[in-house]
Amino acid sequence: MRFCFLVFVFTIFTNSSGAAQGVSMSPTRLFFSGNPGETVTETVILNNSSDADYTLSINYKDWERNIHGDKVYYESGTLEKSNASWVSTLENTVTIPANSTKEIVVTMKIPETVADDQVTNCMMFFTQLATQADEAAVQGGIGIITLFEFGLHIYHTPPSNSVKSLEITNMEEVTDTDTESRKAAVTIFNDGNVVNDATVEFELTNTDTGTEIKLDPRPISMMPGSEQVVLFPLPEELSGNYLGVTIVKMAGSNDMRVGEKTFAF
Amino acid sequence: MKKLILLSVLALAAIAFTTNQAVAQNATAQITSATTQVNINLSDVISIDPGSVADGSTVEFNYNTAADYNSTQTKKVPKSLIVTSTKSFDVNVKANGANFEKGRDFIPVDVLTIKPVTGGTTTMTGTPSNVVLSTSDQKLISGADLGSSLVLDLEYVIPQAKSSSSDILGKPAGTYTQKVTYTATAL
Repeated sequence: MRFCFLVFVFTIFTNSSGAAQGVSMSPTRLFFSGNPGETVTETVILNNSSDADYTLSINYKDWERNIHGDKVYYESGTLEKSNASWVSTLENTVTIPANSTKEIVVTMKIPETVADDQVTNCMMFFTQLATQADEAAVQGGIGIITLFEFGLHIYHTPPSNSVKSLEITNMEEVTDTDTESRKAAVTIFNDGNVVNDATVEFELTNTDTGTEIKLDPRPISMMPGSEQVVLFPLPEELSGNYLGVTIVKMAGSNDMRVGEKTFAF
Repeated sequence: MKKLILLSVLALAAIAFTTNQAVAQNATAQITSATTQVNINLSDVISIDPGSVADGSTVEFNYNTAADYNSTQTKKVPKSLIVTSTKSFDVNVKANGANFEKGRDFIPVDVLTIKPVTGGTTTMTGTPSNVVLSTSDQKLISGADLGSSLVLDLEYVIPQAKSSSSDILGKPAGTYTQKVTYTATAL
């Protein structure tokens, strides 16, 4: 019986170590909250379960999403809602030896003069530094040394902000000018005052036959006051009269928004 | 003697009984205390597996003959990125400098186009985009679904229009290098 237990434990350990290969970062987003003048900290864990050592540099950029939700990066300190200058770590580079874990304490010093209702953000990067061996590996011609980088979302939410709300402001059919493919476009506005994660679903029901088409749901994450157009590629052969229903399910709550519109394809 | 034997039997019986009772009590105690709270603590994680080629590896283009300069060269690199993520994620790419460099000689990085491969060993979802390399962060994959050990194959392409132009043709012989960084971020 004892032997069986030992075999069981051994199996669990060997399986888990086999599954957890690679360099990882956890969490992927840090949410700070504090009043003007306060200093707050959060921890990010970097794990290297490979057999090689890695050295990563730490750097920051501003970013925002374009209307389709894609991240657009800027030099740190460029955007009005940047908090890159508030954030620091003890080291500018971090070495994670093979098969080890490092905890990085991220400190945010909230300025005295900051607006007490505005959510701010930036992106903190852990960028792999090339080793001499990497550089020596290029033998001739045009050589590309490939490296990896993690981006860690950094947000500051004022403690008084707690309104979680999204609004569906438009639903329409659009045609992609490049591919000429048709898409359903759902416009969503974050009318709350916190970062809001949600899943957007879109269903079409043929009003003549009752046939239902469920399109792949799309995850979104929106800063307060931002607008995003979520696109759903439509089946090529789609034709007829349809009722389009979009459901926005907000993460961490049972709250949802529902929008309807009739389409003639 | 008979009395002694009887006493011994009674003593053994008493020991056996009390031992059994103790075992039974232990068993009862184990049963009553067997309710255990199991907590599963989940954290958001994003990882890049060491099998990824984007991990200090190199991709090379060689121009040794006239035919090399007059043709489009493509290097397909399976498993360029292997990502595990607990949330939907994006992959961007950028060059660390504006040129491939050999001492004071330069080839602009925009001679290179990086293309996500659909099919092959690629299992990463999301919207792929071909990228003409620059120092700007450009999206390669946007909105990939979460998953474990998601593979992305890449094609590195130097079009004939670039290799037969003065960007490459006529440059001093030697090895020109530049670093290319792939960035993984949660949605």
